[in-house]
Amino acid sequence: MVIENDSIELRNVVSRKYLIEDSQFPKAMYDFEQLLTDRKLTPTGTLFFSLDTLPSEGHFAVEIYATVEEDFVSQNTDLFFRSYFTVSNMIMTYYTGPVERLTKSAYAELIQFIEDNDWALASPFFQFFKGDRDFQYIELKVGVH
Amino acid sequence: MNADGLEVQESSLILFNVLICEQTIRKDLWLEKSEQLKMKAIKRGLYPIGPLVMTIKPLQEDDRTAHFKFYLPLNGVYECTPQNLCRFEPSLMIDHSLMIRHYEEGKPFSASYEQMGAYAAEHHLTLSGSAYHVMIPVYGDYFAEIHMSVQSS
Repeated sequence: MVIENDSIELRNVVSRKYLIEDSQFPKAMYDFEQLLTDRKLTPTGTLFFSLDTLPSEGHFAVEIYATVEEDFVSQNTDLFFRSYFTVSNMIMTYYTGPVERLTKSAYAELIQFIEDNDWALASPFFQFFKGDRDFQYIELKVGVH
Repeated sequence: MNADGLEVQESSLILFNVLICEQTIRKDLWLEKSEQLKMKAIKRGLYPIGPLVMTIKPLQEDDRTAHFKFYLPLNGVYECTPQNLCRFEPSLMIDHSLMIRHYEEGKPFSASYEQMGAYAAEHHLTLSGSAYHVMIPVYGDYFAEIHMSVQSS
């Protein structure tokens, strides 16, 4: 199911870019979480990433983001800090279960929806990790115009 | 009021890849003009990754018109040409600001500026530069989070 009129509206967001292969993604996530710990930052729960190239293309550029309690983080080459992070006019779908297979079909669903409406992509795809200890799900969002 | 019961907070305003455009326009046209700025970016394959920020300089001769400076954070570099009537800055960086949420209908911006001035005086801070209005969309309308730069001592 595709949901329209969605958006990302967050404050105090840190991020880091990685160029990785598919299999290296857990390592990149671990590296990012370690970086937050090393910088003594306090994540507020929202962890997400954007993909500049589709996962099926082998190497891909990924930017991993987290919202933090701190409203100022000094900049360095490892970590970007933005006071606000927003993307408007997005469509979204969500899923839970076998991640690898469902991620591919979620991408396909959003791309098909864009084609059916004669729209164009206006942002990379963003994947949000949601839920709690008992139930986890993924939201996949992309900007359109 | 925020969770701490304080209307004015110490904060920061840090955004990257900022497309900037200045225009003297009727005040009620700010949204239309900012949408045009957004389209300018999208036509180049870029997209906004932050809210619109603007400064507003009133004109003495006409209170329906003001000089607006729009700042739109993008996901990449926008190459400006002289025909674009805009400029690009790698960042908008205010490490230390005072911030107030301005959402009461009918409250003039000047009242929020005064509250920030009073907070600054009480805490021995010096404010400098313009008031940056970060426009936050809520249910089809907007409210502003106003930031003013605190001079480092």
